Amino acid sequence: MDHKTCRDNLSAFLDGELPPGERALVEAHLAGCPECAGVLAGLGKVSGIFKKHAMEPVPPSLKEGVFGSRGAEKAYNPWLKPVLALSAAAAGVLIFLNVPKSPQRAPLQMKNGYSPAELSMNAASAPRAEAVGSGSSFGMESADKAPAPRTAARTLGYFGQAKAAAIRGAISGSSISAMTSAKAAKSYSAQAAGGSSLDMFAAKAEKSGYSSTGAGMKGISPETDYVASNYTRDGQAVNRFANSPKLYRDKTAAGSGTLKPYLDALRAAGAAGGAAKIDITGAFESDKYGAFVFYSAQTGPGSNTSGFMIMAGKSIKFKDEQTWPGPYAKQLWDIFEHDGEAWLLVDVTRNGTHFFEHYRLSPGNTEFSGTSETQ
Amino acid sequence: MVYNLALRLCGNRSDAQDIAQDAFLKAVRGLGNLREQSVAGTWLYRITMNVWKNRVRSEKRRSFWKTFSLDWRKDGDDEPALQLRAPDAPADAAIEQRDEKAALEKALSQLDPEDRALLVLREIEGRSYQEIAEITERPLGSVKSGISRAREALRQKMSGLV
Repeated sequence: MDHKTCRDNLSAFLDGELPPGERALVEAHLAGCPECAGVLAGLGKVSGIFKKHAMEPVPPSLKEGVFGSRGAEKAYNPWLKPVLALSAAAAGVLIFLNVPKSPQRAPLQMKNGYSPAELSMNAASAPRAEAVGSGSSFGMESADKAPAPRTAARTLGYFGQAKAAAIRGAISGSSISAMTSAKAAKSYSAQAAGGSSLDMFAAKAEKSGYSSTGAGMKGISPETDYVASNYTRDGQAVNRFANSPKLYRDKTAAGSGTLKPYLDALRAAGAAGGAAKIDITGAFESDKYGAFVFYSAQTGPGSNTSGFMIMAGKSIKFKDEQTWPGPYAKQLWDIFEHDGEAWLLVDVTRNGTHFFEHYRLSPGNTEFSGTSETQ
Repeated sequence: MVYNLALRLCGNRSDAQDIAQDAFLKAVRGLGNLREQSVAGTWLYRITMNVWKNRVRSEKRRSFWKTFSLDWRKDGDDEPALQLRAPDAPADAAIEQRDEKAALEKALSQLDPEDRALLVLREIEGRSYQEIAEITERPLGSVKSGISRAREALRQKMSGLV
């Protein structure tokens, strides 16, 4: 492949949209052309910056105008009222068409220094999803419990499919909700720094025995610790996974040590809200990324709240929770590093369906991007 | 996502809200024509594209998509809710983030609106080239070259960052 043809194909290469033959030709050219490799790296960075900054939250006035029942009285445009007066069935389809599968998020909260009382207050006062209405504080009445959050994720059967798709979705920031089981059987790749490709299935087959050098995407997981890295073999750039030391400490069962104050506070908040019905579904510690606590609670008849907090020292650095009618639970699936940022993959079980959400954390966990869902 | 597509097409929040609402209204009216749930997402985006095109045609004299700035911070709205910083965030990191976003918006404002839409559908929505071709009613090759052109333009305009 000549220089110009390669340049013309780099963007499609980055997106994984080239047929295998052309992809191989581009890879071969890249191996011997630092200039094209540099352009590819630049395109990858542009792509990352766009994903990071280009998305704009939907204005509340638009959401109220189109979807909110209260919005019918103060619709953004008066002419929209006839739309809102359509039958419940039509409205339901409209919501299906547009709205993401997750409820509207409460504004992300970040606090420095917290007490159980604050935690309780936050839980009770946080704005709730428009789709589920009220009644979603920690003071709950029903004794029914949401199903264990790990179940769906752990019974997907084939790690490669779910994991690869989830990571791909997280890195690309894309929603792959339309993915079918047939598509899931395909080999997915993730774009790492510089546009290189990590073939998840090859990684599964060759998951050990590689020594690696160079920068790449490092992943840590409570179950399947691995490191995905770039290295050079016989002059060719290679991307592979290899096992890594366990960098991640699961404190869920122990509920002690450095996390104990947080877990105690969370349970106390649940008790203060009416009953000790908050399930700590996960508590994890990472030296680099702090402590993560995932929780779920029944917050009303048939209504469940689930979320997680990231803590550093005695501060809640980040708290995000949503409420959904019916079974709803979240669990940490993975944390991995990519391009100097941490990615948090969250395993969500909701009303019998299972998907992933991701959060992108800047160094020090000081900034957070939005999420996307991966079926 | 409909709103973000509309925003990148027209370049300002006010028109983007109008376009998104109009698209939803047309979607409700056209529900009877929708046979396959699987194409609902594509269908709604296509409606959004068509709403925008119709507005451009009917208000061509304004040439608003060429003259309106994408710097929406000027129109009085708050910063996006999902961009939070801890009080003790390193100052240089915060400045870097702002500069990065500002550079992106400046570069985007110089792109063709439809090329911006291609990037939204690919980068934010994660649509395949084939799906984007269906949404935008453009040939597959045109989608491929359009995305490539848009990315390359951004790369050159943001050369200080990438």
